[in-house]
Amino acid sequence: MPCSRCGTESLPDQKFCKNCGAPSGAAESVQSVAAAPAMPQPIATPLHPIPDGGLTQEEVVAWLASGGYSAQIVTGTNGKRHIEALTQGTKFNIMTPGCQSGRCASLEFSFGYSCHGKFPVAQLNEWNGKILWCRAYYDSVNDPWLEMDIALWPGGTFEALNGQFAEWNNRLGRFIAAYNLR
Amino acid sequence: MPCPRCGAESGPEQKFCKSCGAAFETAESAESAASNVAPPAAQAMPEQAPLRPIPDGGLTMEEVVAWLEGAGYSAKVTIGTNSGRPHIDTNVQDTPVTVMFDPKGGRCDYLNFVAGFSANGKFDIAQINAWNYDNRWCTAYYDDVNDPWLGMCIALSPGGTYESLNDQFNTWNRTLGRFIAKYTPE
Repeated sequence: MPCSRCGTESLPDQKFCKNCGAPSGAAESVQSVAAAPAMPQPIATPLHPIPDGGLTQEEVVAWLASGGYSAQIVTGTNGKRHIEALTQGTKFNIMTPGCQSGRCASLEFSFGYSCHGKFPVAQLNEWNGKILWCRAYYDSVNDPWLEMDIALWPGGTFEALNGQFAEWNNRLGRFIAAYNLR
Repeated sequence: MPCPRCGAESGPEQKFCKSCGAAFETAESAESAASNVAPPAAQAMPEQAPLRPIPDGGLTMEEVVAWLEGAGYSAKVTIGTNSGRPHIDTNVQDTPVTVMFDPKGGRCDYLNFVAGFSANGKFDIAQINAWNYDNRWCTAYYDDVNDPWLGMCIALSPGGTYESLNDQFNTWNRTLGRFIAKYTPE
């Protein structure tokens, strides 16, 4: 039986192609997701899946460190652990709400800036209406915040995580520049 | 060579386990992985369920329509009257939802779900800010006549999978339901 992705011959008992890892018909039959109908499709590059349940905080730190970013786990004033990281010379936090057995199904990237109550808060609606991916808001003392949620599991991959992190870096840079938060 | 995940025997020429689909570490695959992504350092990892990858570059409009219809939702490609660009109209919880995208080479690497509501100009920055302060995943804003909108972007490529798309679409549906209940009561 030829692989539907790369054409390599496989035996009937094989659930995955030995050459490219694509699921065979037997493996696909147990999937519950709705997929697009059969039509010519470009090859999907082999992915590096995120483990079931998501990532531990330590794995998030290791992922950032392997990309050249400094990151450390700290304990907040509320007693909960989160990650402090640095990008483009800017410190931001990575919160991990709802972790189970140490594994976190999503990440919340968060950046706040102290303006001593002088931030023109009405500008944030324009940001939220025009800029995709990140959510801006102001806190109880009118300081601006930028946040982005990233899903890790189910179905997450390191390729997607890297792509989303690139979006965060881009939007964070634009947010800082747009409102002169230096 | 035994598979590091499930233990099934495989031949030395195989790049992936024929039983569970796990990738074998070869010099070529290690170099490729290092150049593209940076998984965490080696440590004990739980098993991973097989994934259905979204094609490189994302989905075509027709594939998005098929995905929505396959999940039981209506979906219709429409040309925007102002923008002149195509989008998809669907309906979630009896609420019209627009799926915006920016196709490159016919494929969309993200989907932007948006829903707007008529509130007769009653929304202001404080109400919208309260939502954005308290809620994850979706962004709320108001338009030039102070009507509220809710939006959420879902990435399709690189690295997207149907499992993640389905999960994030469920998140959109749940969050939209909360937005409707909070700001547009019957």
